[in-house]
Amino acid sequence: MKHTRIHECLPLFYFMLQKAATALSVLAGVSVLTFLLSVFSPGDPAYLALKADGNIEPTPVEIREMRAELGLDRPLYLQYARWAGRVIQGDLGTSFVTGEAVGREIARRLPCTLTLASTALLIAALVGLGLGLLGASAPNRLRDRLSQLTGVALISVPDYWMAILLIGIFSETLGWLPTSGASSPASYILPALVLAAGTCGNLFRLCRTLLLTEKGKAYIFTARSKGISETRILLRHAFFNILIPLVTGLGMGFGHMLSGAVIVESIFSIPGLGQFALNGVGNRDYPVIQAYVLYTAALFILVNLLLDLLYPLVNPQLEGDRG
Amino acid sequence: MIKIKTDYFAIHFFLLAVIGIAALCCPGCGQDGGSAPDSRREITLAGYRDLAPGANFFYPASLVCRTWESLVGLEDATFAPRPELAESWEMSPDGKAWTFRLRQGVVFHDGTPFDADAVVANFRRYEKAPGKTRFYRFRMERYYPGYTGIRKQGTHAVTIFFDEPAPGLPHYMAGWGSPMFSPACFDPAGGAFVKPPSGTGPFVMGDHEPDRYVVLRRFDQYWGEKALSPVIRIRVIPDVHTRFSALKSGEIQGVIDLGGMTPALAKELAGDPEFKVSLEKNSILHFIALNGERFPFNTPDMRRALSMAIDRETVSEAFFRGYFPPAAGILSHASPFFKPGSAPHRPEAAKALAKGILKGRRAAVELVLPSKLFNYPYREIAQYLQSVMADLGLDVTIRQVESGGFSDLILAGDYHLYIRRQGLPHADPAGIFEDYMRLEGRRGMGRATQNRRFHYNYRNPKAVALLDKVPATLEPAKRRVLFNRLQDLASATLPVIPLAHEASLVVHAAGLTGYGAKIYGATLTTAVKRTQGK
Repeated sequence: MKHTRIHECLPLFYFMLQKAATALSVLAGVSVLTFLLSVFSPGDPAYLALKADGNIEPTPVEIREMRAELGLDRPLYLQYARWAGRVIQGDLGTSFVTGEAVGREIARRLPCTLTLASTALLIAALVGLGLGLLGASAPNRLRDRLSQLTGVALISVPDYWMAILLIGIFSETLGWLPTSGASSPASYILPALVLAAGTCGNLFRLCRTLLLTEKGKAYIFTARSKGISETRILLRHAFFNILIPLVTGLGMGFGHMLSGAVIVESIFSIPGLGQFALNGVGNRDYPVIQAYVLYTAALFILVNLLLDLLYPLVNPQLEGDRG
Repeated sequence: MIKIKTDYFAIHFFLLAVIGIAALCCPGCGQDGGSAPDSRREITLAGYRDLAPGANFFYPASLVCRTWESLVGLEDATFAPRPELAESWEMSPDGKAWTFRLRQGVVFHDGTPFDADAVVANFRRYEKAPGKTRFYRFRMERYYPGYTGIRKQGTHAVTIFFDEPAPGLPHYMAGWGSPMFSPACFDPAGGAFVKPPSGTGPFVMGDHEPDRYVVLRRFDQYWGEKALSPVIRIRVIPDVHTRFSALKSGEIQGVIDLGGMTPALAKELAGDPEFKVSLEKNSILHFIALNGERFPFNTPDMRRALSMAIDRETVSEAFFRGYFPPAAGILSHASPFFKPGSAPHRPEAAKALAKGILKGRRAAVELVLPSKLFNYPYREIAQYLQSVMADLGLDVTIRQVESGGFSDLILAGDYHLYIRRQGLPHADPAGIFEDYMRLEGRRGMGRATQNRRFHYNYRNPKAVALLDKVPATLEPAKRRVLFNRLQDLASATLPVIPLAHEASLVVHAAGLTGYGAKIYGATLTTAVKRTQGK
């Protein structure tokens, strides 16, 4: 019995091992590339760090001292090696600008970004898939056209404009929701709506197209001939069979939400990772940029891994493909 | 069929579980505008940045927060030095020693008495200048050029020594130049804070969530006039439009810090009886910087032509909504040495002057802008300049450059002109004149001035001669005469082309009384929130 269990687990073990090896090589490659892009892009981190307080111009002496303090006067390979050595020991370095440990900053900000992205994902899944089902249930009729219109609007309205509009309606005029901050669950509603909009529109289009394709297949005709209702066919048969691309879409959408909430976080004053990364890039804060890119890469790898693990649950026929 | 049903629900359960777990993983997402024990009296303000980054920094909080004070303070309406923790001061006849008599009966927030020992300990901390970069880095050479030491004179006096005359010292020390913290809260060896920093200000720093909010609580043992409000919460709302909405919705009662509200948004609220706009000059000057190493701005006449072609009243009214007045000189209107002047708008004379230089031809020039403009209407001003300069025979291309790389471009001299701003590093104006009117800097400025590093290439022997006299001129009246002459010279020969003086623009709900703009920050101690209304 024991032997059987180990035997059953071995493919999964090899699968995970293979994924881990790929992930490590991807992370190493990404970190080298990011480091090179950072150091060869114009802008002096020492000058920008000194200028971060605003309107006073740093002197050349101050800049020189700061370069030495930040280790920017060392050869590039030493700078990278020093950073990589620390990362291996679990230290993501210290921000050039804030002087804080980057790992601590990420840990402080991650919960906010995670909450925002999760709420947005929930909204995107409910609204996007709901609109897709609605549209596909009656192609080219009024409700389909209305859902198409909504879907296109969600994709095409710029985040910034939508945020200002929602704040104007729900905070300024109605006073129902706070304009900004991360103080309560209510604070996350407006930013999550804005963040979800694009993914919502994409999910709607994906869901509708896939359902319409699915509805043309033979098993649907068979189901209809058995007298099964259209709603049941759509929800129990067609929808179930398009779950794999939908789950992929949701997974990728979640990854983008976690890594790309920059504008939304800025408008709604959510101290998440987006703002942190944006400031890091603007200030040429190499440790912050490096850590953020590593985080994003790791996140996408993790999401992909989760999706790989989820696919066999959705479609047991894929179980054999894993090994 | 049963199998399908099970998996279907399993998948949904899995997805909901992921979302649920993620939602539960937010212990860090605490309050930022949330309730307080006495929220009816608590004032909530908002600014674009965290005004109290904490004990990692040389200054744990901005001067604006009033949690710490200096030996020499800043007048509320001017940048002039005034007694704060030092009641009076005097310079030795040779200008190389200054004695400060300290205020008695002052205690730090942690109960430590403020005396000469505390001042000496703080100067030892300055010498090490610990702290990170983001928040106003302290540099001994900037505030105390030529400093050789400090000695206590009894329990409530100290003398600071220099190796050359330091006639402008109180101006250097005012505000950011002489902060005092309890010696019990920093390490005497390295100067870094080892306990929560304690100052002597009317407010004690309370709860602080980085990049979210800081709470200021009234210090009841304050030596001066105590704050009227027991608690003030300052939130971080980076986007100005969100601050505007938060003010309109009543979430905050006022804005604080530089750029709290743009002139355009302030104008919109000025017409609403529920809000009030308060204005006070601040130390920032907006101007056009010219590349003096490239044609056509390597000729003084073309600088003059451009200056005469600009209608500064239009710039002030159209782009700064009349809140930032026109500027004619190199020195900020907040400086105690500021001399008012005028920059005439003479478009026909400007055209004639430009025609003589261009000899009837047209020249292409490039105006560069950084992508991050801090809510200043530089893009719009650039377009205005484009139209004005077209009349002079200059075809302007506006190039916007990513902010991180902008400084490299300026340092390389790869531009013809750009719009920028400059604040006063301290109340003594000598540094500003040195930086813009001389090529090689004096001590404390580094070797190269902005004039050289940024390729402004302003050369004027008269300016150099006047600047050479400044360090040896000890009498305040004579220094003022020198500074006036330098300002006149700058207005006539234009090391840069001034556009507008900035003002501290504070917008607040009408229900918040006693709150208004100061030259640096706002009147926090007199602010009171009325319970009725917004």
